[in-house]
Amino acid sequence: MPWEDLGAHLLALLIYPGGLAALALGLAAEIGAAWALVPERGGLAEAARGTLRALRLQPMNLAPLAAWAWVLALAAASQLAAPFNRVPPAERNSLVAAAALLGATWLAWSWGWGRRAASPPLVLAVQACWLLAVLLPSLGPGNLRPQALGAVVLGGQVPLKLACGVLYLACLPALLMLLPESAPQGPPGAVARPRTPEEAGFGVLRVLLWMPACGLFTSLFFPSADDALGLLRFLVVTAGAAAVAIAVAANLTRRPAGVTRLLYLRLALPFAGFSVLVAALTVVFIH
Amino acid sequence: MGPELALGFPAAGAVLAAALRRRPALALLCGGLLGVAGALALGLLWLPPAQTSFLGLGLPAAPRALLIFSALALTLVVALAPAGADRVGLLAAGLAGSAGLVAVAAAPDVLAVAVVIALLAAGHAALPGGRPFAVRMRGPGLAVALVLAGVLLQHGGDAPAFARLSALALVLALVAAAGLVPFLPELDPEEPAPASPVAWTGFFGPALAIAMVARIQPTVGPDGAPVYGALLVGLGVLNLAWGTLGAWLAEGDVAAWRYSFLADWGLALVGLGIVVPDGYAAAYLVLASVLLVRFPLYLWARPVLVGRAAGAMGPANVLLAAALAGAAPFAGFSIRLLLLRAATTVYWPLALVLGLGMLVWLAHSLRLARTLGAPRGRAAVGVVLALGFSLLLGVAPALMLALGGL
Repeated sequence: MPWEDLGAHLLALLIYPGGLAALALGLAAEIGAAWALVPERGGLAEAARGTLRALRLQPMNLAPLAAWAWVLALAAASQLAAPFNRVPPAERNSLVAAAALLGATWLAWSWGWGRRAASPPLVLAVQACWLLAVLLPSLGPGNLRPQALGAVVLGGQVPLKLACGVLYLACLPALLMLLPESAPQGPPGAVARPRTPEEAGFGVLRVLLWMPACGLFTSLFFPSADDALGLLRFLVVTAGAAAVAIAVAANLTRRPAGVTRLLYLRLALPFAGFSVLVAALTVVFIH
Repeated sequence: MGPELALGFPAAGAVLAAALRRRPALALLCGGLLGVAGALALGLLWLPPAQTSFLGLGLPAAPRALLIFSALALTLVVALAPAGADRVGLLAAGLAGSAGLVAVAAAPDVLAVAVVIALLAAGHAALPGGRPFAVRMRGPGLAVALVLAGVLLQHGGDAPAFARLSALALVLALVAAAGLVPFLPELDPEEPAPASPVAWTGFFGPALAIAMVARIQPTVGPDGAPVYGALLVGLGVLNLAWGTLGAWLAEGDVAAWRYSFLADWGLALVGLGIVVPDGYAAAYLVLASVLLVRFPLYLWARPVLVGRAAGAMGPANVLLAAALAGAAPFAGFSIRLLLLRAATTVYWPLALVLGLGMLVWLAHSLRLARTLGAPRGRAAVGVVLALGFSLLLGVAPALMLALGGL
């Protein structure tokens, strides 16, 4: 790999859209989520203080599993069709992004299995639905590049993109570990002070997941452009996806225990099946 | 960006209202502002520069007007909800529904319409309510299956049978999507208003039907057109008869209200089936009156329907009975004139059948008006506004039709 390419990948991984950018967006989203999910704790300032306290890492206590998960999350972010991303468009791949995101999540699960109210079967079902939402739109164009998939906004692909877009958004709260059933480290705002370095590390992982998980939604379902307006659009849609995830999570956590599981198994799974049907019909009608 | 904003604002409003549910004042403020912004974006679509769409979406005039009436109805029922009503829940559900309806109206093809109906129905069925999720999904699920079947049949071949079967499936899908006879959903009188089938038929149904017709009718073709028209008229007469008799003879008042919606829908289906301009105009006006008059009145009747207040028959109730019965100068009168004129143009015995149905209508109107009790405070303001809308639809139908590009 030439040095220029290596530099571009490093820049994407560590600065934008990964690293610093992911941290900034993730912190804002994490504070917003803590504020919306645990309103009895007080206003935004209190939510921000609580979030930063929960994320405090001790430099001498290593969190190796969490650190690997961070790298995977940032690798997923580098694959986004974000404007001004230095990784060449031809080298970005939605499958790589999806695999990296799932890998990061499962590293969290390898540590958190059996902790709190976590439910691995539910998370597995949601991840299967989410993977369908990521991969089904690429059936028609026969392409896995996020910016190419996002550019397809017209014609026969609309129903499929609509179904997959909604499925993706519905899966986001579980993927982002916002629900008690999907968060072995505890949902945002729930943990006052982490008990172990890994717990704090996986708290930071969630901060880093906001950008790749929500940004992949923007990349796959909306066209991108390398200009200021394109950047604004990318950030607005990504923030919108994060807001939807928080709203769904806030709604689900307010309901009686078991409703989340029921809704995902009885709603998201059949809807994923319906999306597969729509994908099949789309392929039939287009070809 | 106009259509995207008309879709995005209410969707964002629903998300914010749901997320801020534990802070009701803030939820109402954010949701309300974004809802108003969405309605303004819809209104601005009358100006050609606002119609350009970054995603290639388009909103035809008639569905657009009904979407604005939906927004108006939502404003009425949230702002003037009876005491004790869950206003944040109403607003969040209404805004989500409005966004879904804009998506149905803007959907570029019938397959996209099916996807949006599935989403809208799933969202509605997931609202807290008395009936199980699977039971609530039955009708809309069947509608989606029928739409998919209709689309597949359209691609089945060139034989006329395919076109006719496709028209059959699509019309049945329309009726199932609106929750009408023969796909009438179960009714639980105790169910909260946003989750009840009456809310589906009265609030989501009208814009959904007009948007579906706008997508379906052009795809039916000359071979399917007779099946399309005849089936809509037949199902319309069936709903008219079922609705008027049911509202008169039903045991409970909630059931009577539900049947009264069916009767209105019967007129709308007949109007849509008589494929002449007067028929379509009558259908559009009926659906507008369902949104602006019957649905808000139903919500203000809820305190009496659930036993929290007593029914009454004062002078205001008599006026309401006249409005609900379609007496001049209220909405129903101009609608009936238009529909009878259209029916006479196409096939005069149909006008006779419709006339009979309209006569039976009078019987249940007094019963329904009584369930509004003696409205006070916000409910009284709401009733006056609903009567005002009914009067506007009755005395200035041309204005309302112009809004829908008719």
